[in-house]
Amino acid sequence: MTMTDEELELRLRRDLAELGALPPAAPRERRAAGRNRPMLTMAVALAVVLVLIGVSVAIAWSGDTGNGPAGPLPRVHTILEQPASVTGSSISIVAKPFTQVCEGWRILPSGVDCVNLQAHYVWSPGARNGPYTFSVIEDVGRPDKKLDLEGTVKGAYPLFKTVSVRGNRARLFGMPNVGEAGDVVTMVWN
Amino acid sequence: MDEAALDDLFREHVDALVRLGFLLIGSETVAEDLVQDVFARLARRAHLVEHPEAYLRRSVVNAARSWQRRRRLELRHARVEISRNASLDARELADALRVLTARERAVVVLHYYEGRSIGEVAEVLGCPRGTAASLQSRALTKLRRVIER
Repeated sequence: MTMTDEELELRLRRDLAELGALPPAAPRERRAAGRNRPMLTMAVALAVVLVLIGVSVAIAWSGDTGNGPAGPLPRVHTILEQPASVTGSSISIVAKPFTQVCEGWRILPSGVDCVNLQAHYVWSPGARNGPYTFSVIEDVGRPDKKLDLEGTVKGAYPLFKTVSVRGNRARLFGMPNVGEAGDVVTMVWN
Repeated sequence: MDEAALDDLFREHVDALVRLGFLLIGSETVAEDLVQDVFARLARRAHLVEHPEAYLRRSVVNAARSWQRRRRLELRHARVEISRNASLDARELADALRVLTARERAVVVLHYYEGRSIGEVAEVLGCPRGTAASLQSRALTKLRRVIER
């Protein structure tokens, strides 16, 4: 049966209103959607993860922090094991020995005020950038866990990068201070 | 515009803009990122913007179009992020929207979701009113074809 223009327009208004009003898809649903990707994509992702794990193990074993020969060598200690708790503008992290890399991110220990949050991103074996200092780091979809400089407008910072850590998205805002010396520190939580 | 005003603007409009972006793109996660970038741009040039709300809406639509242009192939095969609570009709429509071009989709969303007149839609898209009307007509034809299939 053919819909009239009025019926089609009515349906568009109704269904778009429904789609626009729905609460965000839960992270679990997003992950479920990810499972439906073609097998090839999954195979490539698995290969990338395996390579990253291999590289991280090699680096940890050799003690090379990979900051490049010219730069200072930040200490590589541990990886975040428990979710960090966020209280006000600071976080505390419970850490365990470094055992893995989370999709390119090396999670290092610290109990730091978010004003000095730094993140170290591993682009590829042997080539690194950072450490970076970011203005704001936010756990997407959980505004209660947003790390924000006190009195800072999140919207005032450009999104630098969205990364995935243990299946959760974390967004880094602000421009990085490339080449800043010091220990590499970051936070990300479950 | 000072920081406090920008903060208020962000809190007041971010949700609506993300929903608009979601309907334009089909991905809430991408929509969030686009809206964030739009606010960042506004913050840098706030002193030049006379009507921040209109600027934000137009920027989100433009950002969505740019994103769709870059990811055309990926979009064709991507799954639309929809809550499981969505009705079958809504799911069907979300899928059907993918056959539209970025501009056609923008016209549909702005007109039928936001309730804007075709004249206002044309203003947001930066095109003549006749072009917007023509885009609307083409979009309806395509949607009807998909929905009735």
